[in-house]
Amino acid sequence: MVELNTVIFDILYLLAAVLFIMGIKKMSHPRTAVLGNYLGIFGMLLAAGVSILITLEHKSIENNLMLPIGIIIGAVFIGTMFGAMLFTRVKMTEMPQLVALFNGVGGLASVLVAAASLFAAEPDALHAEVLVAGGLSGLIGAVTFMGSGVAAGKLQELDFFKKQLPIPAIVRHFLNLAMLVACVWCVYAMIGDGNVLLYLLICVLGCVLGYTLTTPIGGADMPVVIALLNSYSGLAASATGFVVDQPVLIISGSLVGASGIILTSLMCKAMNRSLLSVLFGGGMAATYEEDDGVYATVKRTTAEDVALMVDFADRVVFVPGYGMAVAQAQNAVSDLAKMIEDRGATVEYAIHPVAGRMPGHMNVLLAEADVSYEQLRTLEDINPDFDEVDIAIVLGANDVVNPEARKEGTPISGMPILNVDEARQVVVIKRSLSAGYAGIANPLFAAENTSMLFGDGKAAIQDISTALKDL
Amino acid sequence: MKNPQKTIWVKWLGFGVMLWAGILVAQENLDTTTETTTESATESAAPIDVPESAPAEKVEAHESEAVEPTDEELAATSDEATSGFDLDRYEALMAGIAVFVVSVFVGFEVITKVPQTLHTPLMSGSNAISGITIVGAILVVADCMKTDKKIALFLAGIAIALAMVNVVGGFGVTHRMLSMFSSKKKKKAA
Repeated sequence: MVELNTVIFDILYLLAAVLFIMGIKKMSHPRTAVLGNYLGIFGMLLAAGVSILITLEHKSIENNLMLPIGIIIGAVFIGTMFGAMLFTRVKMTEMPQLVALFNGVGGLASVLVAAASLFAAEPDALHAEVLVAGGLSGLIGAVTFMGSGVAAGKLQELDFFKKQLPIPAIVRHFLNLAMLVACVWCVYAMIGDGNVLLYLLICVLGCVLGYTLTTPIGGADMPVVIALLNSYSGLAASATGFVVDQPVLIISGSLVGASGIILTSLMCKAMNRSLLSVLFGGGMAATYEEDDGVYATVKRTTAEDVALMVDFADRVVFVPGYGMAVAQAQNAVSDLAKMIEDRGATVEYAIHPVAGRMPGHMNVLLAEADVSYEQLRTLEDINPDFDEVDIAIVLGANDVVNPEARKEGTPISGMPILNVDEARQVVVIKRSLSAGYAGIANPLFAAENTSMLFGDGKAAIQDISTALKDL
Repeated sequence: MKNPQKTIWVKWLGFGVMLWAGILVAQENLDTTTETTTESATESAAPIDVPESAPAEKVEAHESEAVEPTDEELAATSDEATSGFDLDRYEALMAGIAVFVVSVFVGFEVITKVPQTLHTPLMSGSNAISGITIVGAILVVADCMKTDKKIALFLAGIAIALAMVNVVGGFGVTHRMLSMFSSKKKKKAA
């Protein structure tokens, strides 16, 4: 016999899941996205509130109410403090690390919930499906936790995470496979004799796996890794849903999983690489022969000349890359853009999907610098217009504007690029002529309509602004 | 669907998971003789309502595609294990897996419409949603009390704190980012 309360609680849980779906749906436009976030918060409050009510009703704690309630309230308080501290203190430039860190925390939470659930359960309640789900939760969660930790460390540029494993790639793949097989064996063994301590072994293997999988990946492949770990944190939550038998976890977890998978596939497509080559290739090797002859016709320019060019332009497009984030030049860019607009020209920003270190990285930085989202144009959106652009200012981007991608036989062949070379004039702001992540020369820098402005991104943009003011 | 490859990939993943889970349950039930298990009634109405929350009919089309092999699978495994098969558990598991598969498709439909500009807030927001593990963490506390497992209780406490970091931090940072996205018209009005 199902009690009425149970039904009400289940419906409320379902409502929370629906709120999450609606919340993400509202994310389809910047105007409604804030509301969408509130829907998510409301759904979460609802779900957590219902869980506390269910706990209060539980017969097993009637005699000893203080301990469980104390633990729940204390833990919620501590978690809230840490979470609030993180999100209020962190700078926008540190956003990739923070997102990676949150993924990891989510993964670890899944690991611990599954652990607590398995250890607390009566031995005869540990059915095969619960143990399989627990094993999945432990493995995926631990991989997410450790992988995100490594990713966050790399993004924070800690030296410890820059080290590469002294193991050849083939051996590494073999070891990874062996660890996966060991995890599957652990699950079978747990089903066999109900020894849940093997779960700990799965978690340890998962941590090692997370480390060995993420360590070789870096640089421009980071957006893929972060999106994938985001997906894993959801899948871990979903697996935990099977352990504790709660559909709301399964629904929400798989939503997050789907979101991460979509972002991962978008990022891979924007780099024209398969997911497997990102995960197991360990970065693009610079095997392509660099041809110094390419740069024979490079023209230098000065900030004053660029200011003059900009003064005559009707349509200016900024092309930001990771270099803009490194130089923290977004505010300088936004100031310059406003000056140009005040002179009657239109300003837009062409943003490549993999510019930066996480999906949407440039957009967030520019939004912080007060750039309106109507000015942020995507690759498909702006590419047909480049031949009408008077000046394209490339700031800290390299491979995503390399015309070599249209040719056969280069490491970036087939990768969709911004057609910056079609603009009437191109200004590239860069420290040197050094190659980008793909390790190949960029003929754009030597093109007839391109001039190079060497120097730090922020300083260069500020120099242009000063020069423009003096005109 | 814009991206057929993606769909097929997930379909096979779902199919694979179902196959494995089905075989495992069947095996275990062949080994052990009939056992009566008291199912927690929490499953109840939830899974059936999910497809209704799907925004487009398209989802339902995909869903039927995805579920079809499941039914064959279901029939195959139940033939294999007619003796001593625990139907309640089997149904609960299959319902859970159906919820999972359908939610993935709903997720695809909803998330493909999110523009590139909002991809970072989407990630941090969905990350906050994955903090839903807090539900599991809180519910486990009562189980721990029942069986009086101190270690499990301790783990559950840490899990609640971590999930809460995820929830508060995730939603908070998403809000911070989203409130920075502004349009020109709004600025002129201000």
